[in-house]
Amino acid sequence: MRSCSLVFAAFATLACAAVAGAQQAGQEAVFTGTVTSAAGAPLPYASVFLKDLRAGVATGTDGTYRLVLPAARVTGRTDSLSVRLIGYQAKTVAVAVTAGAHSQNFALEANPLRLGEVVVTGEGTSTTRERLGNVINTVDTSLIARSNESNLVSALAGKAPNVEVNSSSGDPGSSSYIRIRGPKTITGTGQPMFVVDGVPIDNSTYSTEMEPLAGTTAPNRASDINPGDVASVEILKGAAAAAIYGARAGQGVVLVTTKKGQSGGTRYSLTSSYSFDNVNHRIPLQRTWGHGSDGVFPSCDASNPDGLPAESLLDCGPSTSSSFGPQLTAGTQTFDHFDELFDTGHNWNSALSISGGNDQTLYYFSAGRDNDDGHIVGPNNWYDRTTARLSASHRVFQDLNVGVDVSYVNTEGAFLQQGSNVDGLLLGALRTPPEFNNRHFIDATSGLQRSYRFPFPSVNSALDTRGYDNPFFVLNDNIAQSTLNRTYGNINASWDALDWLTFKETFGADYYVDERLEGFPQSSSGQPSGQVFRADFKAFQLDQNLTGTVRHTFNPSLSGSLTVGQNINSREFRQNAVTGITLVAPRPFDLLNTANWTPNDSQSTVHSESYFGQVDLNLWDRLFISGAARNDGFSEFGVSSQRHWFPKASLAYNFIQQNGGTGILGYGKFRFAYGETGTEPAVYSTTQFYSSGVFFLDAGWGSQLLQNQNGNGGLSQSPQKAQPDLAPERTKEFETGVDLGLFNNHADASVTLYQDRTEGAIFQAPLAASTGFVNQAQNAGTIRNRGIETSINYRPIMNSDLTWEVGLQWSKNENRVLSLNGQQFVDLSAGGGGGFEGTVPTAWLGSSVGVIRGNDFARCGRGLNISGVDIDSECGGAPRGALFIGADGFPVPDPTTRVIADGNPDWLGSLRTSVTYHKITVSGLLDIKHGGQIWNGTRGALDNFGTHIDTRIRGQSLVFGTSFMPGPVGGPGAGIPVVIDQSWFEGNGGGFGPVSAQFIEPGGYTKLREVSVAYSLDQPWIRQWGFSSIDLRLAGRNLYTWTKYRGIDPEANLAGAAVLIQGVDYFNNPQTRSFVISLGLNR
Amino acid sequence: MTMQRHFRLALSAAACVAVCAGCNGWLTGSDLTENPNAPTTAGRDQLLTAVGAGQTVFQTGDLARVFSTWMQQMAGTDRQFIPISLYQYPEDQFSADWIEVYDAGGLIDERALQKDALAAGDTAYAGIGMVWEAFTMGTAADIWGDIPYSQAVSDVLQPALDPQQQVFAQVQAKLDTALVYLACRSVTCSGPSATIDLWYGDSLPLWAELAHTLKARFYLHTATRDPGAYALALAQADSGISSPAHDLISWQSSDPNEWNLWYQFMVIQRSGYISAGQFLVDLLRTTNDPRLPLYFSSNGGAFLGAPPGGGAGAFSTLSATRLDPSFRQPMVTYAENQLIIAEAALQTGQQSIADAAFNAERASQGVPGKSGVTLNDIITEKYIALFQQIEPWNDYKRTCLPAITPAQASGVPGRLLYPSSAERNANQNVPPPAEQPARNWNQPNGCSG
Repeated sequence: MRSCSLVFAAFATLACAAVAGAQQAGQEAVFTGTVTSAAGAPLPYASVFLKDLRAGVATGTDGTYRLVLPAARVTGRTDSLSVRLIGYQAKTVAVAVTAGAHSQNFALEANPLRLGEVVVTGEGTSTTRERLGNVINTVDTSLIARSNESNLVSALAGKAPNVEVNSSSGDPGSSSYIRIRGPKTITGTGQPMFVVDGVPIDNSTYSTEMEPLAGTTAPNRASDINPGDVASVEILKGAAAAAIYGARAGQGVVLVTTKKGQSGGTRYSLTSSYSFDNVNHRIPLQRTWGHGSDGVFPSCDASNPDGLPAESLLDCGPSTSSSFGPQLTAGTQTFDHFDELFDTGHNWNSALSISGGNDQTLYYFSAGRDNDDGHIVGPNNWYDRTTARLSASHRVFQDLNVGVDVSYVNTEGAFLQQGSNVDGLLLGALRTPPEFNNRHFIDATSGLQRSYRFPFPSVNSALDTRGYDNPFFVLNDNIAQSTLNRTYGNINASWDALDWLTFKETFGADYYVDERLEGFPQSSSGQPSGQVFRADFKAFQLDQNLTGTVRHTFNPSLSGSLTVGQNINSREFRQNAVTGITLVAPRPFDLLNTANWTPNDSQSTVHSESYFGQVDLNLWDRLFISGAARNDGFSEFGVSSQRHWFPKASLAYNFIQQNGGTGILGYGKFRFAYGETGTEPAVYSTTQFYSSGVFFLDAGWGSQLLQNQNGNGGLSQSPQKAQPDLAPERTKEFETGVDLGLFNNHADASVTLYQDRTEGAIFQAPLAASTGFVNQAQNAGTIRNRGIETSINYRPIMNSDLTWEVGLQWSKNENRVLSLNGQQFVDLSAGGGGGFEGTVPTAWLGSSVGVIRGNDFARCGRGLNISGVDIDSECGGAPRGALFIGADGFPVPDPTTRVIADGNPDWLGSLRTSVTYHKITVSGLLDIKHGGQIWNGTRGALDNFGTHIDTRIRGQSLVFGTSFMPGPVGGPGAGIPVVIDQSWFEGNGGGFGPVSAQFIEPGGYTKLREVSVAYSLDQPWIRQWGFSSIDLRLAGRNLYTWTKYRGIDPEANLAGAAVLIQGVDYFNNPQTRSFVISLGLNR
Repeated sequence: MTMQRHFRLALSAAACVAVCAGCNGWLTGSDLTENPNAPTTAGRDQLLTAVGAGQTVFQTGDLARVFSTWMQQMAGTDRQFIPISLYQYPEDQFSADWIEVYDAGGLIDERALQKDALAAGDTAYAGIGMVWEAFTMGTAADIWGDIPYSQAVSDVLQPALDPQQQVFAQVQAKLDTALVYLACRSVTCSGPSATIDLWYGDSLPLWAELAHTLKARFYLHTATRDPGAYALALAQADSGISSPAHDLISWQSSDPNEWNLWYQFMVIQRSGYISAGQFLVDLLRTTNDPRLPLYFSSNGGAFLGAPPGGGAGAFSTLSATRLDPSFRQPMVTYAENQLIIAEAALQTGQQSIADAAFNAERASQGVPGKSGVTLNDIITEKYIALFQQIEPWNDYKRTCLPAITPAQASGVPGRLLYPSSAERNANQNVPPPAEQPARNWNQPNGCSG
């Protein structure tokens, strides 16, 4: 019997504990006072609490607090009254908890190093910053707010070293990819696990139609979090930090802590922001050459309302999809096929929060609404998110606290077809000849779609393909909608069973249903008979976590704690999808209105059962040693070894720890850590199964037979052989570093070095077909990442009136594939891989994971022999890497498959500054990605079609190496002028030719991510209006990008967060920049 | 207070016990270690259906198309089919066809079918599975020569190549067992139902006829090495397919999922890639053979075949009959059986039996007969009658008949290279192309151009 009664047992235990918590009565005690900075400025939102009694309150905007203990809780004993506030050193005084009034003021010293502040380390454990033996980057609420991003993942861009964030496009609701310290896997998407308040949540990206290279953009599901609800984000970067999460932490862990109520009066906060978004980069198109081929217009038909040489049939006349026609005569009207698709988008984001509580009960309620109306014209480009959240806790007894935290999210969106897709927006738009008016997308006579390849549709052409859809038809007549309802949260309890023993229980759940509907009208080029796609994606996760912590102080110089815990998790996913083709009537987009249905259903369930333990030792308050181990059992692991250990150990030594961090070197910490984490295998890789409903392919020609015949169901052996011994991928990491506080707290610096090695990376290894199988998942790859991370913060001015701080981050990661079980490369397969023919994302032995393999032109010094010609000897002393020019004056394609691009950056950096003068804060963030390459497939395709501005030179006589493709050349034809013409762009010089390397471009950038000016009003007259403060902010987001990339934006990826490979651009929808105004009312 | 403390300790202990007890069976079972999206077992009916579809692709798809261009029944006239028809192909060209021999819809499922049938005591059903296995493996041996068989579809990760001679011997033995099983009369011996058996409607005698014809075919293929095999082939063919109504023809229908592969290739997917071949068109026209319009289309009454590699011209394509989406492609026929008798009788000095068999075949095709038939008559007739099948290439390699002019001076390839991605890269028993023989054991002699 498979049952997990202990979840309930744990709760019963805690419920019983309530009985044990009875207490006696006494008289009321009242503590009051003011909390100020050392300079005397009142400090709002500081937390004031009695340690033993666990009673707390927050200061108001004037810095005052009033903590009332009801009569029943007055003990008469001595307790510690502490004040904590982020950015200040905590202070504690001993007080006697006796009936009556007590006054206690606090003046807090600044604490820019944040020593003593609590850091969440995962699975119910936490520590203070100076005790950490590994890097955990913290991003707090103010940094998230300044980003003006509605997607929490996008908000993390530039916030922590070696945390790469890549937004897939500027479309509302598009996904953002996040990767920490380089790729460590071949099969997954390589993104970290997300945990909210101790409970893992789903951050999947499900592409429409399960086809990430086409279809529409899709959200990553962590974007369902309202960023305004986030108190802080902690990033567990390496295995040393994340080992406590075992086999789900191989790519790191992002821990999100949400805002909670503070005791004191009820607080209200209403914030609202409004943005103006527009396209930040455009694709340059030529507007001098017309439709046609070989310098002549297509010759099919005469009548033509747009003055376009006409065609009545698809592909009638020579090369009618291209713009290699004659030069347009002066006065011919041409159209900007890029700009005409865009206008200004607006994002209106509003959030209300109400919070408060008393010494026993705390609550935080928030509601948010984010309306994102995209920057692309037409009605089908928007994404709305509605969130509501309640967090509440109640101290049932002095030693038993129970809480609940529940969030509800509704998102609705409309998306546009993009990418490698004849129904895609930019694919059709940018291939259109300059003189064709796409705005007339409906033919006046027939009422049917017209496109440049099908300009005069007759009434009988309703079911004929248009070659490529007219972009305005895509904007107005296609639909791709998503409606998501999601609830996630937890119930939790904390019981101090004995003074040295605490139990914590968290029971969490995350459930959503994403309902998708796509409709392609009749005459859509991909499916001219019309198509309806309907799918529900359902995900349901349950997580139960119980820990017990024992603390003991052996003597003043040695204390420690031991935590043991258990985690039980269940993840279920179900996809119910049906594609219906051939619309019966033109509308509605309803499956019952289609003639032919194909289901594509699947489901999966993953269970895990884990045990973990952690020992923390504190010696002399200077040396902190931590050791932990987790034992994971996953249903995805091979049954022969279903349990695996993941250990970690760390050491932190505070070699300088002067009071308050004063002095030139006021604080110094050395840290060293080792840890192991895992990446779980794909579900159901361990069992053999039969395939149903599959086709037997007639080699690669497209002809095929279904294995069901004449109504008889057929079953055939799956070509993938089960791997019953599959184990998790294992990442082992060493990490060491130093943290320093300098110049009387005016500066701090941190350096971290790490090296990790992922062993047993899983991929599908080929088998000899004569075994009966084609391939088999194997733990056979080895990948290494190593790098350095530095950050320096400098605070030149730290007055109570004026503060100025500058932060610099720099990080570098080097990724290398060390072993692929004898293979030279393994193509990345997850989610369709994310690549194209000729540009295949690959893990390449001796190079990196995520490089692109393809073909280049022949170059000197590569030892090439092409068709019997020894290239190097023909190069005649040209430098290594010089372009080889054949006798005809043209370069020669090299048939050798090689690595042609590496999307991984050389280094990442960011520069942040912030100046506060009284109530005005000015801040900015520069985000730098240096190196890394992108495949500009859009340019390649547009060269082929003659619409890219690069093709304007057609007909000119040019010389390779000097007047064309400048650079060193060699070979018999070097220096010979040749005519660059249609045949070049449609052949070896275009995107459909064999040489994809020529469309690889530098993908580095420097982005002005954030600029903002904020002003906070809290003058008395504001208070007379009933507000405690009013916040005004004017901000810019991604205002400028410095880049050598010539495509839509260097921060772009066609398949978004759905795949591991980044740096693929093929008719991606563009990125945006924004101006934002924001108003906050607080009471 | 002490009571309370004991109570707290007891509760804490209880929590620990609850945790340590763990969750029984939480990690294994249905939906966890068993895939809920696909069955883990398959019955013989489902396997037979899949094998039928998979082997239809193997026998009537890519290979038959390519060999028909090599044999100049057809011609490659566009894109990749021009070099392929001129024998120029990369090492990996036929990997999908190789996979069809062993993987899904091939040997692994044919074996599973037999196992399931035998477990149920249905030896007749197992016999049908053995006939399919013999058909698959014998054909593969014809094409590639030495192939993995005795160690194939087993736990051996790198199966050894069995010499072609041994593969043929194993195929004969498999068919012998099949014939014993097909003759079974026990109560558990029912075979597939008529709706599942899309070829013979559960007629076990017809499956037995097919088994005899296959035995005859594969004996004939070894006769160049072992002339004694002619007599064996003749004896088997005497019990072989006894009427055109008993032909093994592929299952096709008007359902798009069951469309004839030639139709899919030539009309839907790759229009113009192949056209009628000049040699066969001219042969049929010069002999006034009534099969010309049955095989090919005309342009205004004119039949034009393309030379190897194509060229300019309004070339004929397949006839409307042959391009009907539901045309059922012949795989093993009465015509082949009769012509095996004719050839085997001729080679064993029995001219009258040869004449009779030849004329019976010609009559069944609606073509006049003759007496004193020669080997050229027989193989040429087989070349015409077995149009679109793999077998004319096998006959040519043995007999150099009919005397086509190969597209390259090197002659028509005697075998295919082992595919690299599907086999050689993961099986060290397979030699690289340079070390592979040009011809198979059973056809040691090339044909002079």
